[in-house]
Amino acid sequence: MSRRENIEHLFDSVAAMALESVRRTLADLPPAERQRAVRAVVGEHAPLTLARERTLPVHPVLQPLVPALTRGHTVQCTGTAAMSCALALMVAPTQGGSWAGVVGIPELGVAAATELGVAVSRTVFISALADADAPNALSALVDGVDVVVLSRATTAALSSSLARRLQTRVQSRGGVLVVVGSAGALSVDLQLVSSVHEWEGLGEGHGHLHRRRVSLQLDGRRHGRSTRHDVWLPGPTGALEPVVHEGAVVPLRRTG
Amino acid sequence: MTPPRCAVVWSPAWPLTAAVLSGRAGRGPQFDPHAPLAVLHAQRVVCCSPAAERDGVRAGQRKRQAQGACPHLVLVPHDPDRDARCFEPVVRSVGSLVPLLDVESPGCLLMATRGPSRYVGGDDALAQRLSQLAVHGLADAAVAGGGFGIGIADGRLAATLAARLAVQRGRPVVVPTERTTEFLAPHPVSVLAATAGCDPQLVDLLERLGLASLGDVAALSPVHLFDRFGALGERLHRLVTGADDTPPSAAAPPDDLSVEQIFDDPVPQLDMLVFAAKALADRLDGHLIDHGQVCTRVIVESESDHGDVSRRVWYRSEGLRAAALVDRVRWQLDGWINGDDPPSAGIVLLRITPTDVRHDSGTQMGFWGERSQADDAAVKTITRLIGLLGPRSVDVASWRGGRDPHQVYELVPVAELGADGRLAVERPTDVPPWPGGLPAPSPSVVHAQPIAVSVLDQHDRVVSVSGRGVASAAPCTLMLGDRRCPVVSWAGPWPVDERWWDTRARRAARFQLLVRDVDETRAYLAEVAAGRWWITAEYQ
Repeated sequence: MSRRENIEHLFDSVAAMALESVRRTLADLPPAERQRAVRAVVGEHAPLTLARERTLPVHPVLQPLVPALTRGHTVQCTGTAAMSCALALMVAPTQGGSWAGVVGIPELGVAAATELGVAVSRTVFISALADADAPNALSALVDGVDVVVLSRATTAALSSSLARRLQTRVQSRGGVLVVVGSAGALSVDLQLVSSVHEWEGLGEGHGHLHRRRVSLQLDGRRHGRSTRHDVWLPGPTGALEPVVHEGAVVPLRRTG
Repeated sequence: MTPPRCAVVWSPAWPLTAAVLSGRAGRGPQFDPHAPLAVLHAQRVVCCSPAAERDGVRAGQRKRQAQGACPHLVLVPHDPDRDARCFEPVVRSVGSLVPLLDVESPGCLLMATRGPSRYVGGDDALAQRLSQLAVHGLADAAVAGGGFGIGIADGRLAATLAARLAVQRGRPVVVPTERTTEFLAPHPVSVLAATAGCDPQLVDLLERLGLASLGDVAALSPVHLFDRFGALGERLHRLVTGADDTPPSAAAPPDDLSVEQIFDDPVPQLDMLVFAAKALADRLDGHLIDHGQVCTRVIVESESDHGDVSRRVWYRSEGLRAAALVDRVRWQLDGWINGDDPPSAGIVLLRITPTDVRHDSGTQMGFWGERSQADDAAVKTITRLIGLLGPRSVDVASWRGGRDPHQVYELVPVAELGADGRLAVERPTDVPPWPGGLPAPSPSVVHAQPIAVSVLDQHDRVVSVSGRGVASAAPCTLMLGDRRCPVVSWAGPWPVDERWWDTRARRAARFQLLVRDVDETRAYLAEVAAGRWWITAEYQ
């Protein structure tokens, strides 16, 4: 067995032992105490990330919309702010130690990615991928990194059988596919549609682009109903910022 | 346990020598050895000629710094193939006396001296002979970087340091066995990173702990070193006291690890051989990675149909991964097939045998256990991708700094990095805002090839910017191909006037435009130069 499988086995056995001891302890407690004890234990062990943990973290500003990225899913970002959305999804996983791979997007602005918070030291870029090399290279990439970002240039070249094989591999390896733009033959689990509300900062010949208010809508077959959320993407420093409502504006009504 | 006595033949600034020789032989541009020359790699100076050093250029400086110190600096491109090719005659010349040579890198030879020393009659005589042979191999005495330095001492580190001292003194340096520790003591700890392949972070840490020279580190008890640094501490102790680098209980290479390829039809072309070598190196590397090892010394053998043999030992203290192995095989075969003594028939056998392996202690990334399982998996994947797609296919982003979005970060092939162990240059935290740079936020889409567009004012005339940086009129419409997009708001012109003294001068003015495209609002970064408009980036 390779080293990686060894370590995963170890975590599984530790978890099994922990579970066994917990079960035995719980059996000794009276029923009223059990629920409280379970909550205490879960709170203790929650920070522990098992090797087979099934989610990737998401930027706190996006969490009201997407609490976590389930491993194995394919997320599509479309709309006017599609590239920024994809970069924003990369922020939390790369900062948490995961690696990301960007395939076929030579025009990606690395400075913008860094300002959003993407750990560029854990990102690899494959700017040009020939169609013949795509299946092998994508499989190899999916094996090693947790987040793979693709664009229309790559997805358009994937036949439906290749897309299916790739997505099966992504599911078994526990990675996440992020597609910017059209997804081609890939089946999409989550869709983030962005529309620009407004840009602030630019005037008639003065100022500079300061921040942009983007309205994000989450759709997809894994998600029941669509939800909307507004964020500043990018904020003034280039990072994501939440939209803070100063206070509801109540129209005055003449009385009496 | 005393390490074997070895000799190191070292040429400082070998890439410069190779460039000059290459130019003289007509295989590249001509360089004048007396002019200030510098070899650049990944935007940093690797080595420079004495004339450039006099002006203040140093190795490790960035390109702009070096050019600032010496405006007449002639830049030599980095070409490891050329360096290896020019080193071949030297290797063969020295190899006529000493059959078992380790080629560490073009410009540096390592050999055991017990046999040759007895044959020639002593270490000093051997040093003289080696010096003569090395210079004879060049067949050209006037070289850019100075002659060869010969150092003979116990162990690799001491011999390498002796060779560097020899270059300074101008005559070979022989360190007697009993004076090895004394010889090593005054050297600063930075030589560990430069010559012994230690992590630069370790060197930095030692300096901060107050251990400035190898003597200081040697004065510490090995128990304390092991306590603090673990296995690395043990290796450190062995290095600084002049003992052998590889411990006696080194991991034995797994049996039958040599990989070979036998060609049914003799292959005369270099490209096909390199292609086969790539597959072999990948197989070998994969095998070693699975066992958690990396090889530091390999023997590359190649045999032709008529029985001509080329056999070379390659050594690299940081370890040889697949890319490095393929490079060395290519250098060896290139030097053989295209050299003075080519094989008389096609090649039928190619064999790579690792002789020294050590546990992969993660010299490449991370130091204090920063290297996580995710990092291991990613490095393995990168190696495989490079093997699949070629060495220039996988890039990482390295900070460069600049005025425009496409200049700030540069995508550098992974295979070219790794000289100092870090994967990419991070943005330094203490750098002030770049003069003339654009304010945050940066655009998320940057076009390396700007898109030609047209920006019109309200009378449908092209907007221009005068020499004084004043726009002729307010931009009103952006023509994207055939589409007319009204400009909602704009800012600029922000002029840029670069390199007015050079042929690569650039005079342009940048604008930020917010336009309405159908029912969406888009923001663009546009540039006007010489009356023509371009979109350089988009805020998507």
